[in-house]
Amino acid sequence: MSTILLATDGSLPALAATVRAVAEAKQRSASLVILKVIEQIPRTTLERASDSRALQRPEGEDGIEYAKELAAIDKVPATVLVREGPIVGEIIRAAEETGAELIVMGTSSLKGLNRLYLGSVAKAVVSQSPVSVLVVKPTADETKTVRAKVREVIEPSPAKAVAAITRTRQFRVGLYLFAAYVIGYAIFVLFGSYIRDVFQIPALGLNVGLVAGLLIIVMTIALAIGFNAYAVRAEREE
Amino acid sequence: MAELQPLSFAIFVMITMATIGISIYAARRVRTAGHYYVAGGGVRWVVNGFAIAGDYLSAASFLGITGLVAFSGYDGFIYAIGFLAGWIVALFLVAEPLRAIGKYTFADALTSKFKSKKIRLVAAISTLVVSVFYLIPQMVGSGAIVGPLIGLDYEIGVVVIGALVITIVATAGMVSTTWVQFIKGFLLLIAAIALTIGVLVVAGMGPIEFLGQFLSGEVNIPTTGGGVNTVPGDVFMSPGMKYTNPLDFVSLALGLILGTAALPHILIRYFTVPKPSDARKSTVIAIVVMGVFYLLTLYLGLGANFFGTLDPSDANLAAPMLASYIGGEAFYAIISSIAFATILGTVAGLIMASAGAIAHDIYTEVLGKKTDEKRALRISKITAISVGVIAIALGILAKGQNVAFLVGLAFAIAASANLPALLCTLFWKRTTEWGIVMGIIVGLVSSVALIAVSPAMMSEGALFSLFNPGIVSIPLGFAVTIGVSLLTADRVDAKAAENTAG
Repeated sequence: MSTILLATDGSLPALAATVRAVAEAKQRSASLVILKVIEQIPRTTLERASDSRALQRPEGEDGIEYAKELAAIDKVPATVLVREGPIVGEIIRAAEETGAELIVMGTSSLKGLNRLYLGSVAKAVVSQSPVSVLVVKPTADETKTVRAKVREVIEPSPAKAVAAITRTRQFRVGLYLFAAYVIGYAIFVLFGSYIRDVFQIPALGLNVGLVAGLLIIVMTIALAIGFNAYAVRAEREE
Repeated sequence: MAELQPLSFAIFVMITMATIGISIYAARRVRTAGHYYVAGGGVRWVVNGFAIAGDYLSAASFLGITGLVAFSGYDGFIYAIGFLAGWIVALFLVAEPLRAIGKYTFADALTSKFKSKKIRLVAAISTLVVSVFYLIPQMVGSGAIVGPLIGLDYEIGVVVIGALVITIVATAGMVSTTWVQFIKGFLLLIAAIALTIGVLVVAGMGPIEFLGQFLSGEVNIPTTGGGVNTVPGDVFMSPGMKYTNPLDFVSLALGLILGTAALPHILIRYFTVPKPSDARKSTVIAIVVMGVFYLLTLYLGLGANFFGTLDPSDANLAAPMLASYIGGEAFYAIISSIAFATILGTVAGLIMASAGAIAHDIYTEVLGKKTDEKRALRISKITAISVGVIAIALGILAKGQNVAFLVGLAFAIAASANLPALLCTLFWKRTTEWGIVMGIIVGLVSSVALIAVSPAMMSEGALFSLFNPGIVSIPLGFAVTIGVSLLTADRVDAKAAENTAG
C-alpha cells in the first residue's frame, strides 16, 4: 500500500491541504501519515502570537485531530507522527522513513515582514524533497468551505459534549450537594410519613415539622445561589 | 350562574390585549423552525429563569396549593416543598448536560445518542401523555375560576383561554410564549408578596408569630354541608390531615421530587438559552423565584383559613377570596387576572411541547417527511392550532375534575416514563436503545394503569390502594430501563463476537 505524507500545523492552508490529502489518499487507496513538527527554537509569546495570526490558525489547535477525524470519515487508514526539530528537515526525513510517494502541505501567502521572517517552508520542501510535493494554496472560496468543514467535523458528539460538562470540578461538587440534599429530603419524608409524632414537637415557637419544611425551602434557595457562585468562578478559572 | 365583575373583566381584557400585542410583535422575528420551537436559542438566562418559573407555577401552584393549605394545613405545604425540591434534580443533574445534547424537543435529547426512530416515537408519545394530563387540569381550572372571578360561564372561559393560547403559540411559538411566561412569572411573584404582606398587616402579627398562633389554638375548617370541622391546631399543622396512609405521603413526595426534571414542557425551556452554563443560571433564577413563592403560599393558605375566606365547594378560590378580604374589589380583580395569566403561560408551554412532539418528532423525523424551513414552520403552526382546539374540547369534557390532583399524576407519569430514560442517556454508558424504549413504555403504561385502578378512579374496591402510583411505577421504570439495557447489551456483544468469528 502506498503512503501519502501530510504535513500540518493547524493553519488554514494546512487544513485545506488536509482535505486534499484525504481525498488523494482515498482515490489512490493509500494510507495517510499525519505529520506535525514542533520547532525547538525558543520563542517569546509575542512571536508565537504573531506567527499564529500570520498563519491564520482557526482555533489555535494543531490540526492532528481534524486530519484524524477526516480520514476516519473517508475510511482512510491514518497514523500520526509528531517530530521535534527544524521543520523542513523533519518533513523530508519523515517522507523518506515512511516511503511516502507524495507530500501534501499548505502554504500561506505571507506578505511583508512576515514573509521575510517566516520564509516559505513549502519552497524549501519542494526544492529538497525526493518525491512529488502537492503545495495547497487555498482560494478564498476554498478557505470558506474548509472553515465550514472544520466546524462540522470538530463539533463535539453528544457523548463528548455531555462528558465535557460532567468532567468539570463544579459538576462533581454538584453531585455531592445533590446527594446531601436527597438524603435530607428522604429523612424529612420518612419523618413525615412514619414517625409523624416528631413533627409535632414544639421548636422555635413553631413545631419540628414546620421548621423542617421552611428550612428545606430556604436551603434549596441558598444551595442554588451558592452552587452557581462557585460554578461561575470555576468556569472563569478554566 | 355567573355575575359579570366589571373591574376584573376590564383588567382581563387588558391582559388579553397585551398578550395578543406581544404575540403579533414577536411573530415578525419568527422565520424558521428553530425560532419557532426554541426562540432561536437566544433567550437571555435571566429572562429564561423567570419564564421557567412562569411555565412551572401553574394554576395548581397558585390556586391549588393555597386551597390545599387552607383546608389540609401541613399536607398542603408538602406540595409546596415537593414542587420546589424537584428543581434540585434539574439544577445538579439535568440542566447543563441536557442543553448540550438537546435541540427542539425532549425526544431530540434522547435520540442524540442513538439515532433511533423507536426512541423518538415512544418519547413523543410519552411527551403527549404527560402534557395532556397536565393540560386538562389547566383547562378545567380556567373554566372553573372564570365564573366567580370574571363573570363568564365555564365553557366560555375554556374557549377564551384556549383561543388566547392558540394566538400566542400560532403567531410566534416559543418567542411569544417566553415573553408571556416571563411577565406572568414576575406578576405572580409580586402578587404573592403583596398578598402575604397584606395577611400579616391585617392580622397584625410577625411572620413567625402568625404561624405559631395556629399551633396553640383550634382551627376551623368549613365543610360542604355548611358545617364547621374543628381540629386542634397542632394536628392541622402536622402531616396526616389529608394523607392518612403514610405510604401515600411517600409516593407523592417521590413523584414530586423526581417528576419536575422530566416534564417535557419544562425541559424544552432549556433549549432556548445559548449555552449549558446559561441553562444552569436560569435554573438558579427560577429556584429563587419559586422558592420565595412557595414559602409564601403557606401564608396565603393559612391566611385564607385565618380570615375564613374559604369556599368549601371550591378550594381553588381561597387565594382570590383572601385578596378580596384584604384589599377589596380592586385587589381581587388584580389577583384574579394574574391567575388567568398564570393559566395562559402554562398552557402555552404545554401546547408548544405537544406540537413539537407531533410536528417535529412524529411527522418530520419518524415519518421522514423532510421539508424546507418554510413548510416545516407552517406545519408546526397548524399542529399547534390543532392541539389548542383539542385542549379546548378536553377542557369542556373534563368539567368538574379535581385540578391539583391531576397535576400530581402528571408528575408521577413523567417521573416513571421520562426520567429513567433521560438520566440513563446522560450518565450511563451501557444504556441501549431497547433499554430506553422499554423503560419509557413500561413506565408510561404502569403509571397510567395504576392510576386507572386507584381509589381516585374506582372509589370502591380499588385494585391499587394508593392515590399516587409513583412509589411503584418510578422504581419499575428505572428497573426496566437498566435491566433491558443489560440484557440487550449481551446480545449486541454476542452478535459482535459472532461477526468476528465469522
